[in-house]
Amino acid sequence: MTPGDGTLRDSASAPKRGDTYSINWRLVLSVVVLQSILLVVSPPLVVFALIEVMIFALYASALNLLLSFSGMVSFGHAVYFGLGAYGLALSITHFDFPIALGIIAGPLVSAFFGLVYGILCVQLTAIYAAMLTLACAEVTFAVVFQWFDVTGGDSGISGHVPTMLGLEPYQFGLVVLCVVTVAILMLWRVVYSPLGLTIRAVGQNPARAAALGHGRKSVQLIAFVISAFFSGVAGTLFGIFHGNVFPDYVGILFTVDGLLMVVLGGLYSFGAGIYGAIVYKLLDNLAAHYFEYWQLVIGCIIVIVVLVSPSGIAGLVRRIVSRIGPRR
Amino acid sequence: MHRRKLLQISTALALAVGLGGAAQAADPVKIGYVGGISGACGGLTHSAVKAMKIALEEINAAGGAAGRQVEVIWRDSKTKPDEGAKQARDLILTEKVDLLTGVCSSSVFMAINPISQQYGVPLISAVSGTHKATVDFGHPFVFQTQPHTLMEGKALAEYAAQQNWNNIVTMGLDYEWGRTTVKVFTEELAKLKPEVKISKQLWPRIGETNLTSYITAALAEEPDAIMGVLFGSGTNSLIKQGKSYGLLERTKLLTFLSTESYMSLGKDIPDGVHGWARGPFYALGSDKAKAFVEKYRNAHDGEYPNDWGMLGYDAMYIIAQGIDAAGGTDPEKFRQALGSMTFDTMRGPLKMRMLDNTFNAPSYLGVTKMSDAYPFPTMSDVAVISGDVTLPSEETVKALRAAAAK
Repeated sequence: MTPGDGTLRDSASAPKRGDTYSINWRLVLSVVVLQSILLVVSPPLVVFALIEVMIFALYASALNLLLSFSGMVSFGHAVYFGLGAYGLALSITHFDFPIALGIIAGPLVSAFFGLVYGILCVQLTAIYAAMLTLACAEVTFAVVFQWFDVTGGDSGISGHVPTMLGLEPYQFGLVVLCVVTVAILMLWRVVYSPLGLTIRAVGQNPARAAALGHGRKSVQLIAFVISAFFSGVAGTLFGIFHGNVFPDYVGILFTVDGLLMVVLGGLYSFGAGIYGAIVYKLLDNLAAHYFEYWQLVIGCIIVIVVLVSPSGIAGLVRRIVSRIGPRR
Repeated sequence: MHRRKLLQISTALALAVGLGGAAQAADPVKIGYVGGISGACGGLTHSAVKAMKIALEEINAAGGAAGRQVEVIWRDSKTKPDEGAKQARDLILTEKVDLLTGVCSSSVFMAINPISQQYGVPLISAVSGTHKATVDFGHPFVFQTQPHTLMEGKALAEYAAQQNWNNIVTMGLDYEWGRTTVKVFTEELAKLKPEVKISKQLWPRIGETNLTSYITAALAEEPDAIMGVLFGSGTNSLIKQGKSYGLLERTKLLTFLSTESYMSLGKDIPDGVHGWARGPFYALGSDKAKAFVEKYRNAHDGEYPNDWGMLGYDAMYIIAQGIDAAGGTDPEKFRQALGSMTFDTMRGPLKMRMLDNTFNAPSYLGVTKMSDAYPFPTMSDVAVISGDVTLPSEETVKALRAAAAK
């Protein structure tokens, strides 16, 4: 359904030297073609849902870089998502950027804040670092929500960019597909490059990585900035998709959405963000449609998934593939 | 192969005939409701939905609108702007609704507004406070049936000017609603009664439950009144914590008190607080309002409708009567109809002006008093400040639109 869907080989744990982790181009291409066909033939509403899934797949994949590989937890990742959309909006409304430049500014603003907050957060580890990410997120939300002369407060900023750039939904869907595919492939490259190996080493055993000359702080900071940048790409796309931005985009609910997607998708696997986005957004759309207490239903389903398959959907898919598919 | 094709064709034909027949037989007016049924607005919206359902039943029993039955498709925005936008799109594209209504929380209203504009589907806000959708980003098919922030700020100034208050401290929640209301209040009051001194402006954080430092700071100015733009727990804390400082003995308090607050705070609200509201059922003397309240209570275990319920009921009738007068759901005819008629609502006769599609909805201000009539305090001596007085001037609207278009 989404680029890289399930087919990029997931085996983050214990990467062996000599493993290539090369991209399965045939798979990527077939997913992209399939998704393009879906975008072109589906009614607008399905196209909107597909666009949303793609954007969140990127956001969750960026978050997953931290959670699964770098050994960090971010309880405030919506900040980098939302600041992408705010970067786009504010650069246009306050600095008179043309739209094209604004679109570039979005992810850069996210990366900048990723750098600033990242420098603070990597000073600590484990739960303390996680709490610091939460604190940074709260500060950002408060500023965005209250500084209404600049950010428009809770009625947000609208009208700075035409919804979906004025394109037809399927056309915008194809643009999103291109951007998200490239971004997720870049994330894949990061994870399975020498840099990625270092990030994973630090994530798995910081002391040993330090003994090899890789300081935890600098490596985690790099991962943090990369993750913030790609979250910002997703947020910028989301801001263009809706043609507006609201404080909710940097708020706790978007953070929780991202975390749930990764956990549902399956921690410690590259595809977690993609699987999680597909399944979570599907649940989110359907449950609210059929149940009054939809939060309860989603909560129960997540609990069941986590209990039945602690390695999430990625683990489930891996198991199914290894049963029915040809042995590697 | 042939047989399969035959089967496909006959199925398609059967479907087409079936659908065509159904459309001819019923063809109801379809209204899409998007509101914060869950999420932050959940506690307020429930009453609006109940009230709108009662109005819908009555309207359909009386023959519907423009001779057609009215059908409402209810959707939950979860009080999230992106979710609201998604639901609005779905209603327009899949359900093919003729109009949209509902909305709670300014952000959701702002998120749905461009969608209404994009598809040319009228959006009639029943319960949203922001003025930005109709004023700053107004378009021909967005309508506002309740007093918005600019109108309420002015209503507060009108009320304060009539009191014997010469030294006022403002206390507004530090976000858009609080800041805008205080700004309009201060500006309008300066025009109405220049001698009034605003000795201090305080901005408590939203969600702040300990207001004692703000209370002492306000009392230090020895003001004649404190104007508090707070809601929910903010109002609650101000009144409760103010007690130990003798706030109400030392000064007057003017603050937002909807029916919801009276019901939840009950006797914690002392007599003598100056409150403002948008649709207090107990202060509306019309037979229409009385009949509705009775019907609502019978249907919901004796529960009283809150302000949002009153506004929702009125909005549903405004929509139906507008469609009636327009002879259908053509957006431009609907707009012309709304602009050319007077609506007999529970809040009295209301008219819409074409400048910004805003109704001259009144604001209600009064003084709290516990009586035997209700299990919670209500406002007595209610002053009704008409929207005719509070609607922003044409210059203001144009200036705000020019600034927004920049």
